[in-house]
Amino acid sequence: MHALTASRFLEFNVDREANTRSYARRTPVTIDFSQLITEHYAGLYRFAQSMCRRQGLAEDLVQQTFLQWARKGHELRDASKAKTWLYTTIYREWLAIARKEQRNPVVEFEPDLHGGTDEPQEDPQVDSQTLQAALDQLPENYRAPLVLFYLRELSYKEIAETLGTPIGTVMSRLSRAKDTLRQLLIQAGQNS
Amino acid sequence: MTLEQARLELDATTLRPVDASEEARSLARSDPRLNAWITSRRDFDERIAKALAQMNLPAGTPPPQTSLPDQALKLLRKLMTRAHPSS
Repeated sequence: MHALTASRFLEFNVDREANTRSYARRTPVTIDFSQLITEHYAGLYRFAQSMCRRQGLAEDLVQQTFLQWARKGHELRDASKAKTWLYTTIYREWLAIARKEQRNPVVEFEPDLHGGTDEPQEDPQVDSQTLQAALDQLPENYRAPLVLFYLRELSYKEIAETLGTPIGTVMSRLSRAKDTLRQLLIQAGQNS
Repeated sequence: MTLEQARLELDATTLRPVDASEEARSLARSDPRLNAWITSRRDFDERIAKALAQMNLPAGTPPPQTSLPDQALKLLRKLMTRAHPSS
């Protein structure tokens, strides 16, 4: 384990003076790149993995997101928006790949097809594997807000901003998606 | 705000209750059924969030709030080289 010190930064061939001038001109607060990775790598990876379902692609998406930050992060004027910026970027990166592959078409969710929205009495068992399998069954326009919600990183308003979706739509999708997830976990428990 | 609007808002803030409006929280306090429902929902959401946090990460992923491991440093070097290829 190594702390990322100023001397280590020299290894990255970064024009530090140019970066400093750029930050001073464009942003009131300098955001530490290494800290950004440390704080958000895990959340971004879990989001990417839940969306694309492939470890290698998830890693590429996270890497691409930080690469985008290295290129364009200095343009962000409000440092408090860095987290939303990262999640928005990784979501767009994934959407671009998904559309290219045409493997994840946007499907409007039909809650009736998923057993309705009545609150079940049972308490479903859940572990990370079962959860991933259940999440995989949700269409992406429901899975994306749900995973962002369970990561606890973003408020529902930030989730709406990240996904470019109206706040009311995010709220109703979250609610329906939770109902469905619960049903799927109950079914998984009954089948195991 | 209707009960249904409060329910949706509270449902979207179970893991971050501070994000719920006072109006929605007040409605939950005054309606035992809504209050019981949101409590049950929060319990469920907490367990899902915990399961998601246990999802495996690639080796070398930096744990939160710690110094960077070697793999993250390599990633940084690679990113910076790609971002500034001419330098």
